[in-house]
Amino acid sequence: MSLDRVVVVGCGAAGLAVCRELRARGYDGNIIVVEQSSVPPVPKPALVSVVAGRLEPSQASQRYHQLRTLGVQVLWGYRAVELAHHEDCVVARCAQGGQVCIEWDALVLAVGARPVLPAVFEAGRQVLHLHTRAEAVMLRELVRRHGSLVIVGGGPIACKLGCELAPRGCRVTVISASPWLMARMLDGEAGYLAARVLTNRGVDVRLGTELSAVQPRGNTGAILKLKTGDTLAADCVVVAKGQRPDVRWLQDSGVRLGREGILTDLEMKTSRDRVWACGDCAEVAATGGATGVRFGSWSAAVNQARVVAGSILGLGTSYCPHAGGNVVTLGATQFVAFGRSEQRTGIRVLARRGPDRYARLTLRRSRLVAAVMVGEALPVGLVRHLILRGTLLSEDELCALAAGDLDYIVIGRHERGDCDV
Amino acid sequence: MAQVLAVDPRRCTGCRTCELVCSHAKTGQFRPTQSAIRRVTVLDDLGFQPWCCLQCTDAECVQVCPVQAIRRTPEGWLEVDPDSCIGCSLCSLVCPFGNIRVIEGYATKCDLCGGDPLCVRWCPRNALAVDEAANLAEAKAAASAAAYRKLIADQRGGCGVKRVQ
Ligand SMILES: Cc1cc2nc3c(=O)[nH]c(=O)nc-3n(C[C@H](O)[C@H](O)[C@H](O)COP(=O)(O)OP(=O)(O)OC[C@H]3O[C@@H](n4cnc5c(N)ncnc54)[C@H](O)[C@@H]3O)c2cc1C
Ligand code: SF4
Ligand code: SF4
Repeated sequence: MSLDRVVVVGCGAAGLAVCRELRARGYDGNIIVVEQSSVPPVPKPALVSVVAGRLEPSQASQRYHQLRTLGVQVLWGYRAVELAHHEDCVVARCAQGGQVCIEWDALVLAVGARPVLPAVFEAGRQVLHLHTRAEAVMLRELVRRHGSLVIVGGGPIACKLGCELAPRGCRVTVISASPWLMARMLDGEAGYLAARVLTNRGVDVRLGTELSAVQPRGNTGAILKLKTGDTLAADCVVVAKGQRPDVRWLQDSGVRLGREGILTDLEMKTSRDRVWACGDCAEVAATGGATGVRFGSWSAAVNQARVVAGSILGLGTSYCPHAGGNVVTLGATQFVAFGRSEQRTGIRVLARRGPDRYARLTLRRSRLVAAVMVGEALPVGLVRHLILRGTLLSEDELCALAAGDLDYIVIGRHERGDCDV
Repeated sequence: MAQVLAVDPRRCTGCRTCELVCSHAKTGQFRPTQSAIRRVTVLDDLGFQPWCCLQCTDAECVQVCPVQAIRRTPEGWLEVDPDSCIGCSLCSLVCPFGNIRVIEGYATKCDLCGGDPLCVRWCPRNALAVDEAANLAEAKAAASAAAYRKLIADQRGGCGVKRVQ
């Protein structure tokens, strides 16, 4: 089978990394990228910095300059709308109505995920998400006017946005139904520390409550009624309540879909021959089941893209779901999570050092399997390394790590192969 | 030619002077946990090893950075541009050696202090130096070759004749 042309749909974290990896591994055929945005997108982790005015959108999008040196052809402003079932061809349309049909020898689906809108908001009126350059620029204007902002959702995006905007003169309220912030990532105590960082920066944090009704106010504002009976008026409402891939256009394409995304195996191959998926849209089913896991993070997207490039070139690579981990920085404080610490059995070490430092580490069969850490300049790399390598640790060493006193363990006592996260 | 920090663990006494001068240069405070160079304990022989960014060729940190804030200087080492860095910590998550950390919202790693590292100047035992990566690779290859030669010689009894126990 010839491999003259690789087509990549979506040019976010995963799409661009696929192009880079293919070239790095010596592929010199045609690479065509189809991207619905008409200008290079702002990388999502940089959107909050754009809103805060710390970074210009053009500066944030610098990574797209490499597309030219990589010799990649990009169809900016074209949205893939159909993948033919019996032909190796993907149909894409631009806003002006033009349509192209692009043939491929290998197809990579890297279309990311779209924000979820709670039912209480009628068709998205009076609501912004923080997903695109345009939304970031609109929000930046609000910040310049020192407007009031309500953020619906208590995840990392809501926390980062609140943390950056409140000290810049915006009145910010964060509303979350969860009992603590970043509930899917942190345990209660770490979530409490996150709420304290936000409160100290002037954010009004309302936990364990939901919206019951929303009424438009003026051009962009809204009046929000909470289930607690409180009412909030805002110049702007940002909804950050999770994301889901938009893969409806793939329904009759022969590509099998899972609960939310595109089903893949550990080589990131979909059910259709010579079609791969990676990034936020991929649902990885390690055992070939009907549902899998989506990893909504930048580093997972980049790692999966590497696997895709290797697999296209027949290098037999596979994705290691354990390599992940999440870090959120609020001000100078880092919140780090590896593994699902709540569900882990084993020896737990809790350390509180000063009011802003906390660690909860879980040791099982003498190996670190999960960690939640809060503090400044945390040894993120060391913790990841210990978990991935399965380094054998004593309880004393675990305590030292939790207290921030553990030096590197360089030689010996690792390479136990599998890891539990 | 890429320049890197060359360390000689045989000379290191674990005094942590490097960590103190580095953290002071980077943060204005003497806080070893915030230093870009770490003195680590090698548990097997309880010796010490200064541990620092290797200025990797295909650096993971460079590849993952969403805003290309980590750039290679013409002299060959990698520097973080604080004006571009958004403090997302992705680099610290992927560096295989834990050699980059986010401090006060910005990524911090060894940038060889612009070519004249303070740790090299202050190390009382001359355990640190700046060298070309190629020289280090050559020295390492020569050391491995010598170790193999010794191993083979030991197995053969030193003169091609199998040693009889
Ligand atoms: C505000 C925000 C902050 C974040 N911060 C962090 C962080 O600090 N650390 C972290 O690890 N993760 C973070 N994330 C998550 C991270 O950005 C995503 O996991 C990552 O971008 C996923 O990469 P991707 O390539 O799968 O998707 P994306 O980066 O979303 O790229 C998908 C691309 O596909 C295009 N596309 C979609 N459909 C089509 C179509 N039909 N045709 C053509 N093009 C299409 C989209 O326009 C988009 O450019 C953040 C997310 C958000 C929203
Ligand atoms: S920070 Fe880590 S990955 Fe980056 S160049 Fe240094 S050692 Fe390599
Ligand atoms: S912390 Fe800074 S240097 Fe590191 S990946 Fe993020 S933006 Fe790049």
